[in-house]
This record gives sequence, C-alpha cells and structure tokens, in this order.
Amino acid sequence: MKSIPERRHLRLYLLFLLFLWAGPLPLRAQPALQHLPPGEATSGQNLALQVSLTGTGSRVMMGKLYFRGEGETTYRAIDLVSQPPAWRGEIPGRFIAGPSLSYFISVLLEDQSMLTWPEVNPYNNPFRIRIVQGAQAAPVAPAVPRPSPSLPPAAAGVPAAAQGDTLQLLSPDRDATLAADEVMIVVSYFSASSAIDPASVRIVMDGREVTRQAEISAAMISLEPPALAPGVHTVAMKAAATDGKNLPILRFRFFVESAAELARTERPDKQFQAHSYADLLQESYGGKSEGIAMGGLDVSGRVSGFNYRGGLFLTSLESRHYQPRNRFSFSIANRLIGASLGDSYPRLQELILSGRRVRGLSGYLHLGLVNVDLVYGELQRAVQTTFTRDDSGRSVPLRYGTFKQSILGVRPSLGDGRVFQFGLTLAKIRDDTSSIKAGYHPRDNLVLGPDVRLALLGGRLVFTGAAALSLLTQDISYGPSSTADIKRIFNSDAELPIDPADLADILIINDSTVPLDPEARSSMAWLLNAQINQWGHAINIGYRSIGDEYLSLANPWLRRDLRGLYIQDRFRLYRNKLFINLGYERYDDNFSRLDGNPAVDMRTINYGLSLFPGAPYPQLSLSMRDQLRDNHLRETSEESIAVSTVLDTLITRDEREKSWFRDLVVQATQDFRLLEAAHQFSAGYISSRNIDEFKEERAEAFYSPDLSNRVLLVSLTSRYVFPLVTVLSYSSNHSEGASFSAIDFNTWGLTGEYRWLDDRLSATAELRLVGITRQLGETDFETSRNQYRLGVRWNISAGHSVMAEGQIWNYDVPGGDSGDGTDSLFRIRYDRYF
Amino acid sequence: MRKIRQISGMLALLCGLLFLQPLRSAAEEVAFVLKVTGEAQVKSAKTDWTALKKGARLHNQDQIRTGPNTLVAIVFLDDKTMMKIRSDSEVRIETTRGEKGLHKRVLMEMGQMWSKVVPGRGGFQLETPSSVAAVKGTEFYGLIDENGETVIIGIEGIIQLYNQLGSVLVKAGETGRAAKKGEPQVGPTTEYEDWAAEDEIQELDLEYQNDAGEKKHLKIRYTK
Repeated sequence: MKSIPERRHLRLYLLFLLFLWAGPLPLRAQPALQHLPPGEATSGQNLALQVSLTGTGSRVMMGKLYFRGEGETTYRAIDLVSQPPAWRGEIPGRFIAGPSLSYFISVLLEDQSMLTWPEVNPYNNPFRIRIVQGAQAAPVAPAVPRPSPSLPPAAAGVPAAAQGDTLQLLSPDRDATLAADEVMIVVSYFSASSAIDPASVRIVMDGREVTRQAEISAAMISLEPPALAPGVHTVAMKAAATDGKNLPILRFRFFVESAAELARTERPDKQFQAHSYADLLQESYGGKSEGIAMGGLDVSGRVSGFNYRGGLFLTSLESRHYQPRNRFSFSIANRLIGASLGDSYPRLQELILSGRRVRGLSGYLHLGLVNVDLVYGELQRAVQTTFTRDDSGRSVPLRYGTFKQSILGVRPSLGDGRVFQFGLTLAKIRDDTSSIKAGYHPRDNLVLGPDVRLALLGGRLVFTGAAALSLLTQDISYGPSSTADIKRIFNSDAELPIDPADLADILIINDSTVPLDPEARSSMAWLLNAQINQWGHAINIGYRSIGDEYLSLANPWLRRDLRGLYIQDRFRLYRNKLFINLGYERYDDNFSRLDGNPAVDMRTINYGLSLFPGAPYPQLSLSMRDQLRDNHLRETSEESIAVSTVLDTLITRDEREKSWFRDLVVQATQDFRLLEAAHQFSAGYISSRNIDEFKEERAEAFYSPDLSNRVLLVSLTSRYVFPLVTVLSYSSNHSEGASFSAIDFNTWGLTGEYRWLDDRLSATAELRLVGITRQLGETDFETSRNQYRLGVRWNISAGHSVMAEGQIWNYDVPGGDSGDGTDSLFRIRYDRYF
Repeated sequence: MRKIRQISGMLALLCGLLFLQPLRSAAEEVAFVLKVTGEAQVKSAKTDWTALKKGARLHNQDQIRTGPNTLVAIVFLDDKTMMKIRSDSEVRIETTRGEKGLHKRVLMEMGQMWSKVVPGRGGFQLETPSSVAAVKGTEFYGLIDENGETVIIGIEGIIQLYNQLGSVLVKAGETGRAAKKGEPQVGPTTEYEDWAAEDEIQELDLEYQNDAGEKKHLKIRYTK
C-alpha cells in the first residue's frame, strides 16, 4: 500500500496530466465559439462572417451578429443563419463605411447558456476591423425601374433658394432599415424669413405621386405611408418657400425589412431540428488497447404550442456490470404542463433531489396558484454481484453489486414563483432487495421538507429557504423490527402507538433506522439565502446547517455535518469596466463530533477584481482566497494498543490541524496587431500554498499537509491575413511539500490551424514537449512526455462534416525502461445536422 | 382733443403689440412626435390635456406629461435636436426663433429626459425648479431625483449647470447636481441607466424552461 506522501505525489502527477490534456488555454471540454475574424473590410462591400461551436455538450439554437461604425454608440444586429456546422451572417455593404467597424457575436446554446465572441464583455469591447477603400463600386440600381412622373420644372424667372434654405429630413435617416409599420416621413423647413408654400409641395415615392397623403404646414411635411413592401424605397420631395424661392429637391431612400427577416425573430410553430453523430475512438494507454464507439441523435421542435425534445446516446462502453452509460429521453412541454420519459435530471428541492439522473417518468402541472411536480423512476439499476473462489473453493463475493433503487417524489406548491412560492416535497427511495442475488446493506429512505421563495422589488430582493428531515434505514435485508424489538432497543415497556410492520410500505423501521428517536435533530437540514441585486451589486447572504445523519439517497453528494454562514458580493463600476468580488464564509465541519474526531473551524475570505478597460489596454483579473482550517487541537495524544494478549504498545497520534490555504490567480490579456496579424498575448500566474502551522513540530513519521504549488502560463495566439491561427504557449508547474520532494513540469506547446476551400476544410497540428524533473534525495530524475496531434475536419456539404484526429504520446525515463512507452489515440467522427 | 390723441395712441400701440406677436407665437410648430410608447398627453395654449400620439406636431408652449412605462421621442424641426421623455415626467417646451434656429427652453417639473443637441444652432436649455442647464455640447441626461435635486449626466460635449448660488461645467463622463438651496456640484459619473439607448434597441424577451423545469428569461437587445 502506498504511503501518504507517495499517494499525494501520484495525485499531483495525475492532476497535472489531466491539466495537460485539458489544455490550459482554452478548456477544450467546454463549449466555445470559434471565429476567424477578417483582417479588414472593404468599403461598400458586404462582409460575411461565420462562427462555429467547438467542445462538447451543447449546440447553437440561435445567434446574432452585432455591429456598429466608428463613432456610433448603438449596435445594429442581424440574425445568423445556420449552415451546419457553422452559423453565418453578412453585414450589408452600405454599413461598411468609415475608418473602422466594430462587431461581436452572441449565440444561445441548447442548454440555455450564452456564448459570445469576443468572450469577455463584448458589448463594451467588441472586435474592431479596419475598413479600406475598395475598387469603385457600381452605382446601386433602383429596385424596380418605373417611369417616374417628373417634378414640374422651375418657373422661368423664379430664383432658386439661397444656400442654407433647404428642406431638412427629420425622419427616417437616410438608408435606414425599418419595419413596415415604423415608417414615418417627416421633413422640415426652417427659415428666419419664410415658410413652406403648401401649394408648391410635390412628393413622389417609388415613382408614384403621394402628395395628397401628406400633412403639410408652414414648417413641416409629414407622411405616414401605408404598409410598404419589403425592400428599398425612394422619395423625392420638392417645395417652394413663401418668398417664391424654389427649394432644392430632397431625395433619399430607406429600406423596409422583409417578412423573412422579421420571421427569424419570431418562433414558427413547426420548427424541427435534429443532429446525429457517430464517434469512433481507438486508444492505447499503458500497454492496453481499447476501442470505443459512440453515437447519438438529438431532436427538438415545436408543435401546437408544445416544445418537444428527444435524445438518444449509445456507447460501446455500456455494460450490465455498471450503471447505464447509454441515455435516452423524450420530453414534451409548454408553460402549463409537461412530461418526460426516459433519462431526466429533475429538481424538486435543493436538499432532497437536485439534478440527479432518474430513468423513468417525470412531469409537472403548473397552474400558477397551484402546481405539482412528480418524479417516478430508477435512480440506479440492478448490477449483479461478481463472485470468485477462495482457497477452499468457496464462492465469495469479489465485488458487491448494486440494488435497483427506485424513487417516487412529489412536490405540490402554491404560487407561481415569480413573487411567491411555497412547496412541500416528499421523496420515497428504496432499494429492491430482490433485484440482485447477493447484495450489501439495502436501504430505505424517506425525506420530507418544505421550501419557500419570496421575490420583492421586482425580483431585486429574493429570499429562499428550505428544510428537510430524513429517515434512513441502513439495512432492510431483515425487514422491519417487531414492537418487542423496539421496546428492547429503548429499554421501555411503554406501548407503542404503531406497529413498525404496519408502516413497512412507507418505511421499513428496524434497529438500523436513523434516527430511531424522531426528536433527534441530527437528521435535519435547513438553509436560508437572501439574494440582493441593487445599485450594481449582486449580494448573496446565507446560512446552512446539514445534520450529520441527514441523508437523501436522491442527493447523496450533499456535504453533511456542516453548518455555517456565507456572504458574497459582486459589483461593477465605471460602466462595467471593473468587476469586484468579495466573499466571506465561516463553517463548522464535523460539528456533531459523533465520529469522535474534533470539529474543524473553517474560515474563508475571497476577493478579486477584473478590469476590462477596453482597447487598446490589457484586460486584467486578480483573485485571492485565504482559508483557515483549525480543529483547535494543540497537543499530540498517546494511546495504548494491544498487540497481543500479553503485549501492549504505546502509539502517538498527531491529529493537530491548523492550516492556511492561500490561493492567488492573476491573469492578463492584451490584443495587438503586428506584421498584419492580430495577436493576443495572455499570461497567468497561479500560486497555491497550504501552510501547516505545525510543520516544524511534527515527527517525521507523520504526514504534514504543508504544500506549495506555482504555475506560470504564457501564450500567444496569432491570426494572420491568410486563414492560419497559431498558438504558442509555455507553462511551468513547481510543487513541493513537507511530505514529498519537489517536482517540476515544463511544457512548450505549438498549435496551428489552417483553413482553406472557403473554410470547408481545416487541418490542425499540435506539438507539446513536457519535461519533468523530480527530486529524490540528492538526485534529480528527469523524464519527458511529448505529445503530437494531427487533425482534419472536412465540411462535406451543408449539414455534413467529418473529423479525424490522431494523437501520440512518447514518454521515456532515462536510465531505465520501466516507464518508457508510447500511448496513442485515433478518432473519427461524423456529424449530420437537419 | 389731446385726450383723444392719447387714447388713439395707446390703442395704436396696443394693436401694434398684438401684430408683433409672431416672434413668440404660441401656435408656431416647433417639433414632431416620432414615437410614443405607453400613455402620454399634451396640452397647448388653446386646448386641454389630450392624448399624445405618434405623428403629432408640437407647438411653442406645449406641455407634455407621461404616465408609467412610457417613452416619448420628439425631434425639433430646426436642427433635428432629439429629445426623449421618460415615464412619470412633465415638461413644457418654449422656443424663441432666432436667425440660426430655435432657441429651445425645456421646463421640467419632474421626471427624466434625454437629449442630443446639435451644436451651433439655436441653443438648448433645460430648466428645473432647482437649476438651469445650458447645453453647449451634444448629449446628456437630465432628471429630478426623489429629493428634488436636478441631476445632469454628461455623455458628450459640455453642459453649464447653474442656479443663483453658482455655476459648474458638466463634461462627458461627469455628473452635475444642483439642489434648490445648494450650489451646483460636479463629479465623475459612476454609473447611470442608459435608458435612451435602450429605447433605440429593441428587446426580445424569451421565457424558456430547461429540463429541470427552471424558468428563466433571456433578453436579447437589438436594433431594427
């Protein structure tokens, strides 16, 4: 068995490998937008842009491209159109004017999260491109050539108006794009000495005389045309002043949005989307090979006011010896009623059921004043125990299986939740003892608890609270206890009001039931939280207490035997250019001390700031966390242990704990242009210290958590005028501690991605060189682990894409071949979008 | 005889004054209502409060008042100066015709307004119970807060904020404050609600529900 220092050493090494694989910048597993911005735009020419989603877990539902010219403060937006696997948008040439153009892209994902490009604060820090003058464009031809009635020529002898006396267009702006019902044509005339002669006014719109429809006065001419067809419209207006002077003819045009453009902002009732994929992997790691095949189909749509969604995921890793890895689900719902069949992740109450997978049926009826949510299904499936033969030939369990565990949960509630809601959740969870042949400690669990939500001041102040009481029988294999058994347990002759056997359908009660005494509060949990969004602050204040014996099998990861308070504030300043986080937590861990260990006092202060000053300044972020863990033990203890019937030995225990955990994260990012390429330089520093107060006092045999870790990350991402993106990175990681020797990792990385055939084909190459130095005693051991990756993606046609990738890791240990070797991964994936 | 001449002279002077009204004619058109969302009313020298609609023409000395959740956008005819009046506000427009344009005085009893003023033409002045803001630049917000204090938020250009006790210049990125009995003060703007820009940006409010049944609102703002 490995000693504690070696285990910790191994954990650090595995953690770093995970970090290495995941990639420090960016996180590959997380979905991210990939967009290659153009180097520049040409004045008057349409600018096409596209974006695609990388990573796993979700897909784009809708996207928008926001843009504005230099000096403008508001953005225009156009919808992105899905052309799988990318989303495309085109900025009309009429907006490509001036010295520069700024834009950002925003997409809504299937899981209701949003991504933007640029990633951080895009509204205030959009991407800016230069506009260059192109070849002289051909003049824009009129939409429909019509014979236009000519405006009457100026009468002979009538002088033209003086310069400055002109008709002024108040609305709409020239070349503006409007909805058909928003068009209001307003022209004014201002002069110190004259006014409009109403009889002289002539208005021609799209070649038709519309003067009679206008309202004309001495200072203004206004016209509200009836619903206009989509497209370009031209207006010519002529008038004379009351002093007889002819005013210059006013000509302008504007655009009316098409119905198709409008329809994109609406939600058509029959919208169907589907995505199917197949993924094949062949891995070779540590001398072992394994092939994995995966495939899936996701569908979603809307019909008759209901949204539906279905999903199927199949994997070759599915095995009856493990919990299911395949997934299937189908749901249909609207605001009032919904149902889901298959795998779902329902949430009834934070302390009882909060996102754990249930395979079965779930649904809701939300009438507003009265609501009900229901869940019925399987939390885990039956997995048979595996057996082996011992030395005497007896069949003994090698690995215990799991019982089929079912849940029935219901939550009625009052109030729709926008201002007020009160709910009561009941969950019944039981292991099916007949589902496997030999199992270990089947359990029965009943949990009940209320929750409340109150939102005031338009949602700026929100109070939430929840409580729950759990009853858990830890072993139901021998059924319920009898009345006599219960009396014996409590050493009492008093008559019980109920027979535990009568309650067996609700909960099996026996001597393993916790708590047996219902007055005990060790199986209670409760929490209170206040959320305040006001004056630019987002404040969370709360208290929670989770009893040491509280357990909901539907939420088994909830940390127990913990109570304490927290307060967190995040606020922004200087027009969202500066964000500040402040937080404080104080918890008592193991406060019940039922296991004989001391309680641990935990206090945490965290603070940080993020600065987005906007181009050309760098973005900065800084965060720090200080945590103290103190069990208030200051002395070691001695204990006499019986080694044999005649011999005792005295052992010393050192359970003192007083540690400071200090974490610091600093990151800076700077965009700049050099040699006609757009570059982004990013640097980060992470420091993590565990400071053991008793480090110097501990005997050598005892483990000290004292540890320090420093990570430095530097990267340069470059986008060139030709479709190439490169990332050059360096990272170093140094760790050392009281219970293990120092270890250093140094990594150089170079990644390049090139696209051609109008982005339909892309190739990626990556090289990572890792040097590892480990200090053991007086000797430094050096190893290396190098990674080579090559990938190709081909967008065969709209909606079809294929990706192939190969990765090879070479590692060696000079002086010994015990760790030498090569690992590899080859993958091919096909995607089809409907 | 002398008395008759005196009376005739006075009558002639009176008639002359009447005929010399055009420079401050209350019937003069001065602005156009481009947009009305919510409920707003207008009152002129000749009419009582009536509903204000998009496309209405405003005259010198017209008063406008807005109800809750209301926005009125108007444009002045001489130089395209734009003004937006927010909910629960009451303003009165007075103009004086000059050579280069209309000198505009907006008297605000309560509420919030935004304006983008074209410089170099007629001039723009916002008057509140506690101060006067003379706009020398282009864009600003003006409001009367719950304490009756006038607040001017400079977005672009320069605004002179003054009352009987003093005067300050409010530049872009600064906020000027003036209480009735206090000298005007100016300081950097820390934050403000850019509601006039939100008006130009359409908002799409989507209510959606994830698999867990949690309802959320997603607001997408865009211009059309």
